[in-house]
Amino acid sequence: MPEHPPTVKGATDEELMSAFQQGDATAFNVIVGRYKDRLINFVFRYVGNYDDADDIVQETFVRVYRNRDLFQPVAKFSTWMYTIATNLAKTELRRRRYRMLVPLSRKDEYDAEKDVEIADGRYPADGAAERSLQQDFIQRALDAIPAKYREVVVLCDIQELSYEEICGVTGLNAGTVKSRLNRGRAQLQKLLKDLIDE
Amino acid sequence: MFDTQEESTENSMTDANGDGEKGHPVRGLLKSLPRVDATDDFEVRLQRRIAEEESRKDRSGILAWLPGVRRIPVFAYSVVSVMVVGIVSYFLLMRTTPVAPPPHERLVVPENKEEIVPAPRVDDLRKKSDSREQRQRVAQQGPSRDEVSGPSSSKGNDLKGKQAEGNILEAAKPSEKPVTSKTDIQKNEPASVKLAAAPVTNGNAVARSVTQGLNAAAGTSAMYKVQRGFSPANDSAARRDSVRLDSLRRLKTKMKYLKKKPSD
Repeated sequence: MPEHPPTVKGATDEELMSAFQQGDATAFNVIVGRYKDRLINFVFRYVGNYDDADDIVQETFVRVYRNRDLFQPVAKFSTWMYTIATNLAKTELRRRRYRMLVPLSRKDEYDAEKDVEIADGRYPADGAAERSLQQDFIQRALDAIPAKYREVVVLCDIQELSYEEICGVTGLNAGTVKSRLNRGRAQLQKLLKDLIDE
Repeated sequence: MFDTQEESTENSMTDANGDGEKGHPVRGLLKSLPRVDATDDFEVRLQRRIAEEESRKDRSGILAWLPGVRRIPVFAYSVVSVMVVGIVSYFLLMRTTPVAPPPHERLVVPENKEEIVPAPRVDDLRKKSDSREQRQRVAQQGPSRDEVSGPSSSKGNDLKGKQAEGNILEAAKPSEKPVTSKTDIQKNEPASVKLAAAPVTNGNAVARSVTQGLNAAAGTSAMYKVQRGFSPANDSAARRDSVRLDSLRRLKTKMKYLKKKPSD
């Protein structure tokens, strides 16, 4: 990717988008650079698979590129991006449910989990490995709760979006968002009871 | 009223983003998760993907001037073909399917097909009656009554006609079993029955009436239908004619009565 001029770098998302709408391809590259990691992180925590997350985020940017003229400057750009990504992720989850398939990568993780559950006190795991297992455990707990709760929990607690932004992304009202957040957290608390107690 | 159960709990909840929720243990655990970043070649792959998208768009743009080529869904062709087949078959069936007559005009057809015996032809019946007469004559071994009386007298002719009618009817009896009852036949073809029962004036008339009477009495309804070109439409038309005739006759008598009345 080419180095972007400083004026473009300091511009807001909406300004970049309007520049892109006027035919400035550099502005789009800046947008991609700003959002690719954020979106990958969000989608990965939501769908639980990196390859799917990567594909969804790529598709999100393609859609932004294709439908650049549909964006209205009155709306917040980040909300628009997250909405596209969330919708694509939901479609992927629905498709997965219909296929009733478990990805091989997830299967490996499940198999690994079985090994982990058989604890052997003679060989204590080192810090990095333990942390990695703990992260897998949290991710599996996230995958275990309903998608509608997971969506809100990830947006709020991992992506740290405000209620207003979450409402914009999900299309729900503030009460429903709060309710789902509480329910999702409560379910996660039950699942992660052992980790929290430690 | 609240739309969902979730919304019903809205009022009873505290702000999840508030200070009380910030220290939520789950939140801390989720925050401890490492950030997952995109791969290094993410942007390169994205550029390639966008370029493919653009080239595909250009290719489809070649056909853009043709209306309806690009945006027709896949199932549209099958839906249209199914509709065409349905319409064509409907009209074909409509053309070939006969219209069922109304229930009061339906004929009673016997279940056993063996009962349907074709109506005897007049010539056959005549031959039969002649041979029977001959046999009787041979048995009696004497000259026949016809030969003695001669064909010229009108009374004898009348008698002959009646005799012939009786013989023919007799000849027709054993071989045929009428499928429909008498009332059915009368209901279906009242004109022919009337003709058969009409008074006999000369030999030709006798022969004609006998023929028609036999056709009506001895023939099955099915055969009769074929011979006379029967159809529910014809039958109803005949009925309508007879009704009109009756009403005309009644009108005529009324007119006569009215004409006579002033003079009285």
